[in-house]
Parts: sequence; C-alpha cells; structure tokens
Amino acid sequence: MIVGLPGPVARAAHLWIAQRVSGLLLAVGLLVHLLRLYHAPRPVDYHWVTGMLSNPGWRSFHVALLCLLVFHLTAGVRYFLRDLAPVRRFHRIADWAVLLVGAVIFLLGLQALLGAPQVR
Amino acid sequence: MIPQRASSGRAAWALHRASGLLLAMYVVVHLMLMRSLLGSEDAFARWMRVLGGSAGKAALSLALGLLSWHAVSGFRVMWLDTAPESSRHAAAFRACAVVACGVWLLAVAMLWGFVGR
Repeated sequence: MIVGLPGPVARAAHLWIAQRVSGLLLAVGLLVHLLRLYHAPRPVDYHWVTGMLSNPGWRSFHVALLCLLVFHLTAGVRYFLRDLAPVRRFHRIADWAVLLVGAVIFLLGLQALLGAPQVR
Repeated sequence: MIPQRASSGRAAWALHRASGLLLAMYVVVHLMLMRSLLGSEDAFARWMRVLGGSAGKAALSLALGLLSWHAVSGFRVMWLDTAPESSRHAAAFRACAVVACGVWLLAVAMLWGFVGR
C-alpha cells in the first residue's frame, strides 16, 4: 500500500505504522515488566534488582523496552506538537526538539540500566 | 487531525493525548528515580520507603491509571483505523472506559496488596 507513495507521505505512513507496532509491543513488554516486579521476592531488595539487571537476558529486555518506550513517546509527542499548529517551519523545529528530548531520555534510561552495579 | 465536533470521539482523543503527555512526564521521573535508586543500597532503601508509603502508592496508582487508559484507548484507536464508518464509536468509547477502569482497579488492588500475594 505504501509502495508508490511520494517520499514524505511514505515516511509519514511508515512512522504511523511504527507508532502502532511499538504501542502493541510496549503493551506486552510493560505487562511482562510489571508481572516480573509483582512476582519479585518481598520486600524487593537492592541485590535482587541489581542481580536481575546483571542477567544479559533481562538487561537486553529492558534496553529493548527503553528503545520502544522512547520511540513511542517521541513519535506521540511529535504528533501532538504537529497538531498544535499547521506551520511547516514550526513542524521542522518541533521534529528536531522532539528528537533531542528523545535522545536525552534514552541516554538517561541507558545510564540507569547500564550504570547499575554488576553482580557476578 | 483534531476532531472538531464535541462528541465522545473528541473526548477520547483528548484523554488519549492528555494521558500520553502525562505518561511521557512520568517516564522521565521514573528513569531519574531508577538512576538514583540503583546508585547505592542506601539510596535504594530510602526510595523504597517512599514508594512503599501511602503517598508513593497513591502516585503509582495514578500512573497505573494513566497507563491503563492509554493502553486500552490505544487499542481503540487501532480498531478505529480499520472499523467501518457505521461502527458504534460511542459504545466503543464506553466499553473502553469500562475495560480501562477494570484493569486499573485490578492493578491498584495488586499494588496495595488487596488481592494476590
């Protein structure tokens, strides 16, 4: 369906699909994240959390969840800003601003995940 | 595209956007909190005391409410993309509100320890 559309329209369509796919994956990922926390030994302690984040599987899961979250969040905020004013110049500034904020949030999350002490 | 006419569609659109924006702010706070509490065992214990208190649980309950609404409303938006024009949109909005409330109440009951473990 997207094949044959002009460049900007095809890009918008790809982003629209990616926004929905990321939303679906986030719904599943966040459910896993919340159920994992719910089934954690009580009271949740520091060693359990750092132990989980030292596991390559859980660490990769959380990094993937962060990527999906930041993508979905930035695309959503971009749609919100674009709806505020139908001005091309404003859209361009908003796109860059959203990209910058998304990068900062991603780095913040990555720092929290990868900066956690490693348990051997 | 902003719905112009006052309707359940406009309310759903506004609530989806508002919950999304509030969740975006929550994500930033959540990541900053993670960064702080993973820094040391003392910081972790301090934050867990805050989050385990009534105010912490109330804030988490609010975040769970926003998440429930945004997720269920997101499924409604995806359904709208494929639904025929004649679909009962107002009924879908009401069903969405009921499901989101149900999911939220279950999540809050689990958080406060009323059900489950």
